[in-house]
Formats: sequence, structure tokens, C-alpha cells
Amino acid sequence: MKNPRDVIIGLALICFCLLIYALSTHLPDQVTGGGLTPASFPRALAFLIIVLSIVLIIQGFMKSPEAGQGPLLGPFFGQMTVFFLMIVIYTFLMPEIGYVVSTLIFLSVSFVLIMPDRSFRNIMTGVAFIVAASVVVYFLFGIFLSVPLIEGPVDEFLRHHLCALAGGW
Amino acid sequence: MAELGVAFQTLLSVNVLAFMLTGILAGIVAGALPGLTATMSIALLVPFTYRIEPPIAGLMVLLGVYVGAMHGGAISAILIRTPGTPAAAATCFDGYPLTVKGQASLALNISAIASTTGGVFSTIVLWCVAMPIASFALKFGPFEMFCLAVFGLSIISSVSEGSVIKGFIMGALGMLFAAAGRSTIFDIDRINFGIKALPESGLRYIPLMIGIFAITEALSQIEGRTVIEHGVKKLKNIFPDIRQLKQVLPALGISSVIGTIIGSIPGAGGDIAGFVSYDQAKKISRRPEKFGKGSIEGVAAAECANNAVTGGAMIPMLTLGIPGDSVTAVLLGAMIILGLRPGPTLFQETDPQLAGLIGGLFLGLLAANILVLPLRLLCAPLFSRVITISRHFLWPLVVVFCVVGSYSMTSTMMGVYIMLVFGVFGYIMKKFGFPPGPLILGVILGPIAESNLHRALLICKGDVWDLFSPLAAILLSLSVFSIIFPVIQGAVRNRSKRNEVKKQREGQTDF
Repeated sequence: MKNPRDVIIGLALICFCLLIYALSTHLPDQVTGGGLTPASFPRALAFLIIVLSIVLIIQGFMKSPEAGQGPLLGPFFGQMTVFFLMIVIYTFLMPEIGYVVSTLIFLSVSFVLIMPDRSFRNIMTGVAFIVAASVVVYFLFGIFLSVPLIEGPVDEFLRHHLCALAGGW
Repeated sequence: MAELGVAFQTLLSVNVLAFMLTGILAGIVAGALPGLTATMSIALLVPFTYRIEPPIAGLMVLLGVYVGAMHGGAISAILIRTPGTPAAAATCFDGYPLTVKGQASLALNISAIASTTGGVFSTIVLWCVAMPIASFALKFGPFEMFCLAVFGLSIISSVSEGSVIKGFIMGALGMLFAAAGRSTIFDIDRINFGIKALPESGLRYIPLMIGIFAITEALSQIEGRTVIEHGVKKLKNIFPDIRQLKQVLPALGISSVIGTIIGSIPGAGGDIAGFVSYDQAKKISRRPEKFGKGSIEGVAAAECANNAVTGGAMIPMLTLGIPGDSVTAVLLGAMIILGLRPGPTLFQETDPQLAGLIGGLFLGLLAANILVLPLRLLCAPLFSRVITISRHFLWPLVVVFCVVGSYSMTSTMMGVYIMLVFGVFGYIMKKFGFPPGPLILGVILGPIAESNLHRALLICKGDVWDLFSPLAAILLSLSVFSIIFPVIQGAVRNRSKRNEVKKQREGQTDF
């Protein structure tokens, strides 16, 4: 095997397409008038991907990877994994505590995580950035463009008082 | 014509112009920062522009970002020899040597003038050819439309960096993802993995695009981050004089034409236009020996061509509904969200608001290309500071934009979860060398191909041979050619590389 990455992904794609094919068997097969059935297109695509994946696997056995192919895991893989977990937590936390508080927490923790050096100047810049970014996004999108943001108690309080302030002006 | 007048009046209003300027500025910043691309910026902004009133203002933001990002790519190419966008790759050849000579400001201003020239020229060409092409394409029946979609998908082989097979797999996966959920053709739920709350296709692909382009990039950048040594000093603004402008004139002329033509070919992007124009400008130049050592003609040729691509790429996208690259694919998605239907029927629109949007699209592209010039000329020293922004601050903020944007498209957390799933999917596929562009082409063109094939088969009642027309045959032949040509080209290139290596080895053993 000269390029194991192509073989692994080829096998994974074949499994995925077999799953799609299995799911398509539950769809109605007969449509009157000579047109396609709901299952025809997904099945044709699954078949095409399986054929292409087989070609990819054969290539993986015969051809060496291209010169530009880097390592599978980058130098900061651990940090990236933690950052991704933080995104997941952020998206699950947002419906519970609202946009403002969850965003402040997410930006603060991720900033500390990926900051290159934790000097006093960098931390102060970071704090200013976190507060400014959260407020600007809230004002610009939540208030000015009326983009729906998930509201928690803090968001409701902010919106209520800001609207009252705007009404006063 | 009346719609064009209305669009012109709307465009002149202060808030629409302010939105466009904001888009241009955001585009320049995104283009100048390596890692942030025009595609990603547009995908991120679609959910927000969708809510701006009047809708034309939202469209102007996106056009501003598109034009601004193409301009911005030159800034980092000239100052730090790192193209901010792939289209600015050829700009490095002469832009950076000019910076080394202490003429960075001159290079930036020449690139601004050249970019505007290319952008304005291609927009005028777009105005002239869009209507006739769309009128011709109106003759297409469902099977010809299916063949057109197949042709659009066949360009995957050209937009795939690296393996063509991987590009086709991504394209097919894109079509498969677009087919999942509620099917409007059959009015049935299919391949939804038991998730009943999947939003309809149009609303689903914006979170998908955000995931594929923004979350994937954020994860990759954090994982493999490197510190770019910029060493940018404070610039003194130097404007080119009349003699220098006369010197770059032939390069601007040839590059505008080349850029527009290459841009209008689906699959051929700004990077190819930049390289071809650079080569041609060198051939017609009186000082070809200066190319590569800091020639302003070289900078002008590369920048003029890659901006001429903007109008050129809009030709197949607006008239045939075929996006030529990832950026126009995302723009096409944005237009659909705004209610437009790019394709042969675009200019048949009878709804006054949508017709006004179409008029605004043409005028907006022209206005964005013109407005960006004074902005770049006056603020060159300021924009040169953009590349010193620490990108460590940016990625968490990009994630916040991704979450807010994906949520706002569907007003449910489902959009956010779709974005997350496709962010991880894009990251894994990137690791295995799969390009993201073909996936988006598949997502957009898949439903067009399926619905038109279904309609064509219903019309012919199963007699497939009735469907074939000369036009369909031409389109299918072009598709086969565009699939096979890059494969043969790659094989020939590999063979000549192998021969060269063999010759070198033989030479070493003889020695």
C-alpha cells in the first residue's frame, strides 16, 4: 500500500454509500409517467461514488502520495481539538443562557487557549477585543439588522433597556 | 430599462452606498489576510445580508465584498509575498520586488488602478453579452438544461486542486447532500437519517457553505498555525505619474480582455487569468527584462486580469445558472436566497422588486469597481497595516459569526448543527486531500440536474432517444471534453516530469 490515506477514505466512502443505498430501499419505487423515482438519483450518486472510491483505493495501492501532502495531524492538533469542543459547548450553551453570556465565555476561553504569549499587554488587548466584539455583533446584528439571536435573561435585559433608551432618543 | 432607472435611484441612496462601502472595506480586509478568502467572507455574510432592507442593499454588501476581496489579495502579495487570495499569486512576482526596492506604495497604487480597470471593463462586457446569451438559452428544454447542469458539474475536474477523482467524489457527495431531506419534486422526505427537522434545501446550503468554508478553515488554521513575519513599515503614499500610467496601458488593455475571457470559462479562475496575462504582458512589453525584478507592468497585468475575472465569471452564472468557481457558487446561492433565479429566465423577471434587484446587480458591480479605487488610493498606508492584525483574534470571532449566521437562516439550532457537522466533514476531507469547491457546485447543480432530467423523462414518456437534440449533443460533448482534457493534460505533464527526472538521473550517472 503506497498511500494508506486514500485507501482508508475510499473504504469509508464505500460504507457511507452502502448506508445511503440501504436508506433508499425504504423509498417508494414506482412513479407513473416514466420519470425518475425518489430513489433513482440518490442511488445513482451512491453507485457513482462507490465506483470512484474503488478507483481511489486502487490508486492508493499503486501510486505514492503527491509531494505536497503534509502530515495528517498539525503541530497544534490538541489545541484545535479543545477549540472544537469549545465550539460544541458554545452551541449547546447558547440556547440555555442566551447569546451575550455564552459568547463572552466562548471568546474569553478560546482567546486564552490560542493566545501566543500571555503578556499583560496581550491580555488587556484580548479583554478589550472580547467585550468590543460581543457588543458590536449584538448591536449590529441583533438590534440594527434584526437578526434573530437566542435570548437569555441578560439579552432580554439589554434589549429592553436599549430599546427604552432608543425610544427616549 | 425602467427597472435600471429605479435601481440607479435606489443605488444612489446614502444607506445603500454605505452598505456597499462597508462590504468593500470588509472585502479588502478579508482579501488582504491570508487564510480569509472571498468565498468564506461571502458565505459568512449571506445570512446577515438576507435581512437588510431594501434587499438591494444586501446584494451590494456581497458585491462589495467580492470586489474588495479581489483587490485586497494584492496587498499581502505585494507587501509580504503571500497572496491573500489564490488569484493574486502572479502579483507576487513583481509586487514583492518593488516592496524590497522601497516602492511598495507605488505597487499598491498601480495594482488599485489596474484592478479597477479590469473590473470596470469586464462589467461592461457582462452588460453587453448577458441578455443575448440568456435569450439564446431560453430555447433550452428540460433535457438541455439537464445537459447544461452536467456541463457545469464537468468543470469540477478543472476546479479540483490535486486529484480529479477526489474532486468528482466531492461533487457527487454535494449532489447527494442536496438530495437529502424534503424533495420538492416528489414531495417526500428522503435520506434524512431519521431527522425530521431538516430545513428545505435552499435554507440548508448556507449553513453547509459556512461550515465547509469557515469552520473548516478556522480549525485548519488553528491546528497548523504559523506566524507570518510581515515586517511592514509605515508607508508614504506615492502615486504613479503620467509616464508610469502610459507605460502600463498596453498591459491593462491585453489583461482586461484575457481576464474577462478566462473568467467567463467555467472552472478557469483568477489565478490562471493572472498567470496568462502576466506572460502576455511580458511578451508585448518594451522592457521584458524587468519582469520578475519589480516591473509595474507585471503588477498591472496580473491585477487587471484577476479583477477582470469578476465580471467574466458572472456571465455563465447569471445567464446559464452555472457557477464557474467556488465564489460565484456561493454568490449564486446568496442570490437564490434573495429571491433571484440566475439562469436563462433571469431577465424575464416580471416582479418589479426582483427586476430592480437584477438592474441593481449590474449597476452595483460597476459602482463597487469604481468606488474601491479612491478608497484604495487614499488609504493605501492604512490597508498596509491590515496584514499586521493578529489572526489569533480572528478565528474565535469568525466562529461567533458562523453560529449567529447559521442560526439566523433557519431560526432554529438545526442550522447551527448542520454547520458544525459540515465543518468537521470539510476538515476531515481536507486532511485527505479533497477540495471543498466541487462540493458546493454539486449542492447547487444537483437539484437542477435532477428536476430537469425528471421533467425531460416525463415529457418523452421513457423514449430517451427523443430527447437528444444537436444542442444537447454539443453540451454533452463539451462535458466529456472538459472531463477528459485535464486528465490527459495531467498525464502528459506527469510523463514529461518523469522523463526529465530520468534524464537528470542518467546525466548524473554519466558524470
